Amino acid sequence: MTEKRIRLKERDAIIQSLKSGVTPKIGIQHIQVGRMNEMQALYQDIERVSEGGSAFRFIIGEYGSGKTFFLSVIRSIALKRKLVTVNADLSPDRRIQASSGQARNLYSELMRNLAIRNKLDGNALTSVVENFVTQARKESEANSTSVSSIIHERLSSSFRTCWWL
Amino acid sequence: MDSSNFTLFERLISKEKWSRNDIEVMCRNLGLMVDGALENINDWSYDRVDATVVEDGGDEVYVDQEIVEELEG
Repeated sequence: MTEKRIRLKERDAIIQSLKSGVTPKIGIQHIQVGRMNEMQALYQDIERVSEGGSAFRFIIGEYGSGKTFFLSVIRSIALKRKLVTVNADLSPDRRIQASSGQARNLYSELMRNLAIRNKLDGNALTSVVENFVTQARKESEANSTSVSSIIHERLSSSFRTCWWL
Repeated sequence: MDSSNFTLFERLISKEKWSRNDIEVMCRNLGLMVDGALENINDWSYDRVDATVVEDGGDEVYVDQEIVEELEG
């Protein structure tokens, strides 16, 4: 196997974010080391989710112990496996359950951060929907069934979601 | 990637920066949806060279010529 080349764009992103002390958005796999057991456990979760299952985990650790970094690595693996990810920080304005719209705020934030492997920064909802409709259109041309019936059929089959809080 | 998406890709690689409006016009003529088509092109690119070729910057869309070269090579 030839030596893995790291693209200029990735190199810049890694160096810049390391300089400012944040987790790089791209190329994170090049600087990740250790945490083998944790990685394996979460990798199994990803496998399970991609097969239609579900998983729920708490990642607990001291300030600065690498929780965010770890989650970013897992997120990038999930994205590479062609899963869709959503993420949001909880805050007084963004709660799981509330009576004055804070739960909706959390939901909006999650949807804003909806990511796919080609759109790591989020805002991928239209890409997901349009890709879904395009596939339905292709299938309809191939099988001469109506687009809407294919869409209905696909929507009724289970949706795969994964939550990491 | 199907022929209309590939046609779009071939047109896109002729320059580095596009306005979203221009891409919308091209997509409409080809019977494509903008985000769906760009996603399709990027998916194809990712499967081949492990990177996306088109970057969606909102009103502007950028084509990474380094990746184009890799795709062509």
